[in-house]
Order: sequence, then C-alpha cells, then structure tokens
Amino acid sequence: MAGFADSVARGCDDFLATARRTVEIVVEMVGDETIETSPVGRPETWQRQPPADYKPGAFKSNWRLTLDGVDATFDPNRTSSFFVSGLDKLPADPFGHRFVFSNAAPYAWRIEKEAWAIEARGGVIGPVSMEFNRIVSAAKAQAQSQGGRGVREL
Amino acid sequence: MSDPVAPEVSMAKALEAALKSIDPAMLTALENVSFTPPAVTVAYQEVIHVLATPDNAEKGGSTFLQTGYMQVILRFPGAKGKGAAWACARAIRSLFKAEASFEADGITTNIGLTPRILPGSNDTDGRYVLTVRVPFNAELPN
Repeated sequence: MAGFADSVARGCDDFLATARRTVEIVVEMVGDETIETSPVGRPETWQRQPPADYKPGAFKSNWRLTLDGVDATFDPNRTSSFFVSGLDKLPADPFGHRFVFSNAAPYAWRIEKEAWAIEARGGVIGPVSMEFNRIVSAAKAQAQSQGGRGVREL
Repeated sequence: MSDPVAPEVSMAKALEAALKSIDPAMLTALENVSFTPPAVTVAYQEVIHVLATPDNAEKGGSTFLQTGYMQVILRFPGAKGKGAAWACARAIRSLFKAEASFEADGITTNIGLTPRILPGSNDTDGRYVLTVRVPFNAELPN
C-alpha cells in the first residue's frame, strides 16, 4: 500500500505547492495593480500651489509590502521607483501571514477618499480591491499551469 | 440628433437620480459638469463612478457583468460636529440598501452590498468630509 500512500502524499505536496505559488502571485499582482492605479501628481494642472516639498511620483513610489505589520516609512525623495518595496522579501512559506500594502505619503488618505488626484478620483485601494477576485482566479490558473513551482524553480 | 446613451451612463444616471431624490436636497457636483463649490458654510456632495474590470460569466453571451461603486464625497461645514454629515450618509445608506435596484433607459442597476462609509476627516478648506461608497452591479449589453 506504500504506492497509494506515496501518491496521496505527492498529491498533498502538489496541492500545497500550488497554493503557496498562488499566494505569491496574488501578492505580486495586487502590488502591480496598486502601482498601476496610483497617480503621479501634475502640480502644473492644479488650481492651488503644491506644498514646497511636494515631489511628483512620491506617492506612486512609496508603496511598501510588510508581513504582519504596517511600514509607515515615507521617503519624499523616492519619486521614480514604480514598484512595491518588500516584494522581493516574500517568505518561502506564505501561509499564516498577513500581507500588508501601505503607503505613508501624508496626502495618501486624501487621494483615497477626497478625489485629490485627477487620474485616480475614485481612489486607489477601492478600485484595486474590486479586482481581487479576478486576481485570485488569474493567480490560481497561473500557479496551476506552473505545477506550483516558483519562477526560480522552472 | 442626440448621441446614443451608453448603458454605463444609464447606470450612473439611475443612481444619481436616486441620490438627488434624498430630502433635503443638496448641491451636487457630477462628473464633467461645470460646478463651482459653494462657500465653506454650505454643504455639497461630489459624485464619482468607479468601474471594475467586467466579468464575463458566459463566454459569447449577449451581456457582461459590470460591477463598480458610486463614490459620494459629502463636504459639510467644518467645526459644526459630525451629526449632519452622518445623517446624510445614513440616508444614502438606507436608500441604496442591499438588493435595491434602480432603472434608467432600460438598464437595471442593483445594489449588491450595504454602502460603506469611510472615516471622516477635514479637507484643506476645513470642511468635514465623509465618503460613502455605494457598490453596484448591472448586466450590460455587449
């Protein structure tokens, strides 16, 4: 009966590998979608003068991914790094963690709920959260097509 | 000859008409319609529609499912307490209750969930801002 037990164990391993890879892809896709939805300010089109220390691109460049916590760091000089900081630190086993995307730009809340950004009048988190089911379906399909293996293993 | 009405616009039209039916009436800023904000002592609301990626449950079907939310930004006079703004937000929540539906130009727009009220804050003019998100869905023709 060792053959049957081996086959069940292999099935479990495959399932878990696919589930782990699905989580990784979901996190990456949510990060990509968040960056894509984030606006870059164009002060030249604003009716009001921007604050003296305002730098276009700082909001889009300050998305951070943290495990089980919130990163409240904001670097106003980071203006052209259109990727989520921390994506490269995804754990080998993502189960049991909370993946938190945060942006500590002082005006981030106004972008989300006060229609401050012309390019993202409905906010960023709201629109991205509506895409979550689609992202999970796409990630699952992609993980299954890879047999649960990560890019590094292919 | 007038332009044909896009079903996406009919969806917004139905929700905006319902919103404007709330008593007492409020000044309303709509997308791409000229609007000058009133004095900071007068309340007004701003309406924005956000659409999600459509869902094609049936490949080759004659319709697709469009979900999204109507964002109503309530701007009330500052330093006057939060009661009036929250009463207004509550009226929106009650009107657009889950399972309610609204129709315009033959398009029925459904409310899938109770509207979400985001935490209040003050804008740069000192107005008290309360944002309400009304989630909706509709089957739209291809």
